[in-house]
Amino acid sequence: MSDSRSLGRRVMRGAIGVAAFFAVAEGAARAGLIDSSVPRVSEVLTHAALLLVDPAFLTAVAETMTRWAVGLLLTVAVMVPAGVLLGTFSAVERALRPLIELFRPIPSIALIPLAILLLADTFLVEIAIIMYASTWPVLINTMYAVREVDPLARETMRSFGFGSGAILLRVSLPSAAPFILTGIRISASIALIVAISTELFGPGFPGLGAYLTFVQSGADGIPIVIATAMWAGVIGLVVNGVFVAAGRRLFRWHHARGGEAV
Amino acid sequence: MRRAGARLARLWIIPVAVLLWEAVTRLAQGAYFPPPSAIAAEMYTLWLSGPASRLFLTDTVSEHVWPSLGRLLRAWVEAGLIGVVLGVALGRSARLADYVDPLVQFGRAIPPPTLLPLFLALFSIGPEMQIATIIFGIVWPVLLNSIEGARYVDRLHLETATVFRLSRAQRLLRIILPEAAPKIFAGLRLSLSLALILMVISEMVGSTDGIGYSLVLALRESELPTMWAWILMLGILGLILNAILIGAERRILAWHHRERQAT
Amino acid sequence: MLHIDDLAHVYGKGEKAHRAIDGITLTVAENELVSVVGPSGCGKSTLIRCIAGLIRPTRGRVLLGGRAIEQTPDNLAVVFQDYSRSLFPWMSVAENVALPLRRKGMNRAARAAAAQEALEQVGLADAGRKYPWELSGGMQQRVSIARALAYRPALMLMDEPFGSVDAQTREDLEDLLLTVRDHHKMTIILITHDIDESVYVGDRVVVLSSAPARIRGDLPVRLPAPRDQIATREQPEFVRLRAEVGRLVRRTTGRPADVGQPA
Repeated sequence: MSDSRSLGRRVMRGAIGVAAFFAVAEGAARAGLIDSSVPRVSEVLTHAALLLVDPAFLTAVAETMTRWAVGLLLTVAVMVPAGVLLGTFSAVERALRPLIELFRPIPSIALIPLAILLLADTFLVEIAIIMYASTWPVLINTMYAVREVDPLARETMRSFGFGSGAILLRVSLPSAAPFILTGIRISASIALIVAISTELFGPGFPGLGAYLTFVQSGADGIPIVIATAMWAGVIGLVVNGVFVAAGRRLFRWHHARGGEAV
Repeated sequence: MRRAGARLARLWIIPVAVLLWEAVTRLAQGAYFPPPSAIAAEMYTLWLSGPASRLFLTDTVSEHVWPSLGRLLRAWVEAGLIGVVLGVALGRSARLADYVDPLVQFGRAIPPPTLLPLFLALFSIGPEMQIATIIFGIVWPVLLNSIEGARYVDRLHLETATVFRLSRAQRLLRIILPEAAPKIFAGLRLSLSLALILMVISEMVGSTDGIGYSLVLALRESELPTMWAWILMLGILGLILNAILIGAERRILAWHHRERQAT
Repeated sequence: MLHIDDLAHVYGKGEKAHRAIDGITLTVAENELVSVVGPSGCGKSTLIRCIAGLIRPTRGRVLLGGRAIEQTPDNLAVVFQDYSRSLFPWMSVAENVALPLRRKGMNRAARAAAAQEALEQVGLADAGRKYPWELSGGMQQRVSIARALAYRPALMLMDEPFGSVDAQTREDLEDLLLTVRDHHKMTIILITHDIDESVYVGDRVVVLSSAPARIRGDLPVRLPAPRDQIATREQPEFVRLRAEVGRLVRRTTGRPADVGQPA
């Protein structure tokens, strides 16, 4: 691809784009072109800065991220081995696949009422819903990654006399690892969405969802909500970025051989 | 015919699982797990016990299911149009895309539920709020996939178009769109499942009708079979919508699938 | 030391059955380099896999050193054609070469030393720290050979090892193989579709028919050693042998074979 778009240029253009957007939005608001209930950019940015020192906000972030992390970790701990199993024993996978395809479309948040009845404790409810939602990308990516390991790579190991266990450990898992990480990365952003959704559901839930509900009805509600959403976006970007960077470092070989962006 | 039979045979685990489910729930008699037979009965009462003139569909269906579906589809179509049009335009202009990229990346990263309170405040309870929430949430996968699909069009194809003096419109319709189509469809599929999630959550929190609303109502009134019925309805809906989209994609992209198999 | 006894293998059953090899009987003496040549798709790869114990043949057996092969025996190494899929990209070159040695109960230092020695023999003394994908095709195939060498097998099987590299590199690798064989005194079976190569490197050329593969000819190669790419190929004996092998191959397909074309 012709690179009249060096990295420096692209960053500059991006910055110009953001600045232009802010300028236009602010200008339009001041000129009265936008409905007065939509807050100005300057207001939102001010509140965004204020949030950083708001203990209620920071606590809410901590609460959401804790639940997010716990749910995600538990999912990975259970579903990666499960995916490896299903990827290895295709007969089992074929038998279970219709069930997977049936359960997958059920939106995890639809299960919130059920979880509330069953589990009562809001922490457990949130973790359970997060786990249900995060399961699918991790499980399916792992399954397919293990299944699609290059048969020649496996055969090479066999030709040197290695057994199935060694082949799994030394070939299947390293081969599948980049795709498993992709699955986890996708699950990570889904988990964040689902965590906040659950917290929005009702009283008793802590975290960003509760913070939003609480804050929206007060004065300056709308700009604070937008500012909170912006910070949530930043968190999402950071998390995603960490996964992408980790993928690039750990799986240099995958990218060097033109592997798909992980 | 044999293939259809073989495919059905692979679904053997479903009746087995249902029977198991029935057996376990009957034995355990838990309050929160009605047996599937009870759920099925409730589903019938709820949705299919209406007059024959309306295909046996009840009022509940017309009051809650159709409105939900209507909002979902309307939002999905609108978001799809915005995403594809904008995305293809941005994909073809690398410079323009550069200016816009950080904004798009940031927009995508904002978890849609966080904006629910915003749209609630702006539109208050009702369909506009839900549609706004859904559109804002689901436009990103379509947008990003459309950008990428339109960006990586085979240069050789474009050069051929230039050599044969195709008009801009023809280039767009006959080369760019078809080549971008697989990625665009992938984006549309993602946005559909996300739309379902957002539809539910927006109805749970800010609505007076709809499937999500009915679900929460059933919770409040502790109507367990009803609640389960609505949960399953969502699963069925997700399944059907996805299947329709995949079917449409297979037809439209038949050439693409065949080409990939040949390589 | 290798005896193949009426080997046959059929893939699939019933109407879809494909008879890959049909009744191959062959004896290979110690330190012999046997070239096996035949038209494309004639079952050569199946033969290698049966000998290596990767497939259980449907008929016949393979005896290595008097013992029948059930699974992959411990004193056998295989070099595959597609090095990019056979070398592991997440390991360095040295780690790749040393990996099979884990089964020989060597400690880490011993494995590293053996790997380095093998790499030196193939002319890649400094490549240990690099990754396979950082090397050219010819160099990667040398790594594959080094990996087999380090293992010190009694029998080395090579499945069209030089088919994926350019002609120049192929000549270098052929000479490397001869050097290594002289140095190590191992028995080698080399499968190739290249008639010139089969005569140049071999002590013996076995010609297979097209599928189902049977032995069409078994010619001793009496060319002086050491072989030289230019001088040897000028020898009248080379020309005669090459023509005879060519005729045998052609006769099996009845047309100017696709032999000699890159796979």
